Amino acid sequence: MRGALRIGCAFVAGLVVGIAVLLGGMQDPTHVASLLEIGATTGASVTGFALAAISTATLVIHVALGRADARDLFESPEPAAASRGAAFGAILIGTGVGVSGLLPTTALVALPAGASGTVMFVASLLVGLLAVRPGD
Amino acid sequence: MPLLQTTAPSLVESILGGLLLGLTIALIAIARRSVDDTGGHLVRLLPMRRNRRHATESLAFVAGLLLAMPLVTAATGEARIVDHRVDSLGLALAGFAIGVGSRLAGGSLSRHALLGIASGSRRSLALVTLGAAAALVGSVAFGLVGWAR
Repeated sequence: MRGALRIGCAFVAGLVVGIAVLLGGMQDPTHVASLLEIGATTGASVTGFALAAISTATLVIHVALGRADARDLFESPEPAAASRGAAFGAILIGTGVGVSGLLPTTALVALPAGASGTVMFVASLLVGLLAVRPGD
Repeated sequence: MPLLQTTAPSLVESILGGLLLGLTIALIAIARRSVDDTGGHLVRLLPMRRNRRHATESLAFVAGLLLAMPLVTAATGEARIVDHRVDSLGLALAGFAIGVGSRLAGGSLSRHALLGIASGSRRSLALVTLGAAAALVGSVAFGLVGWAR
């Protein structure tokens, strides 16, 4: 029963995250890319979406867990080599987002629209996820 | 005016979407005391992975993501915009780069931005700043190369 409840909660969580992405228009790569285009009128909407998400998550986590427990939720000490790898990873992700206007979550939400480019993105994403093991 | 529409969302709609996303992700993190991103869920579903613990939950989460657009479209009667500005080769390279980068960085930028920063992680803040700078460079390079569809 608890297993079924966890699965049900995971499904609802995915659905609500998907609706949030659609509400902010983040499934549309051209809309997301407007954040990076000087003078684009829709950039404020993307910024508003990101700031609202980060500030809400920060507030809820700190109120519920307190500062010390919140830090334990995520932070893990890593060797310097892993940090260099993480920095390179962040550059790869950022460049990919800058070119495509997509992230894994937004790509999956956009997938049912049936655009061939989205299918190509998700397939390549899976290959990339398999190509490296954490710690490499 | 419909709340979800085919034109670009208003600032209010975007902020509401962000609030909903931040709240949902925070509640998942608090309930599970662990943090997964979509890339992590996808990895668990791949058949060649040995460690497939919680694969059913990951499948349910991904199913929820995939069903969001059809359900919203059915409820509102309006299709969602998905307008790619780059061709399939560019999208394939970007997808591969984000997949590799997510593994190296211990999660996608959205994971670090939402939960890393929320948890007070300086490392996540640094990675998000680095990623945002790279996104700006990538976008400018995209414009210079003219890699449009």
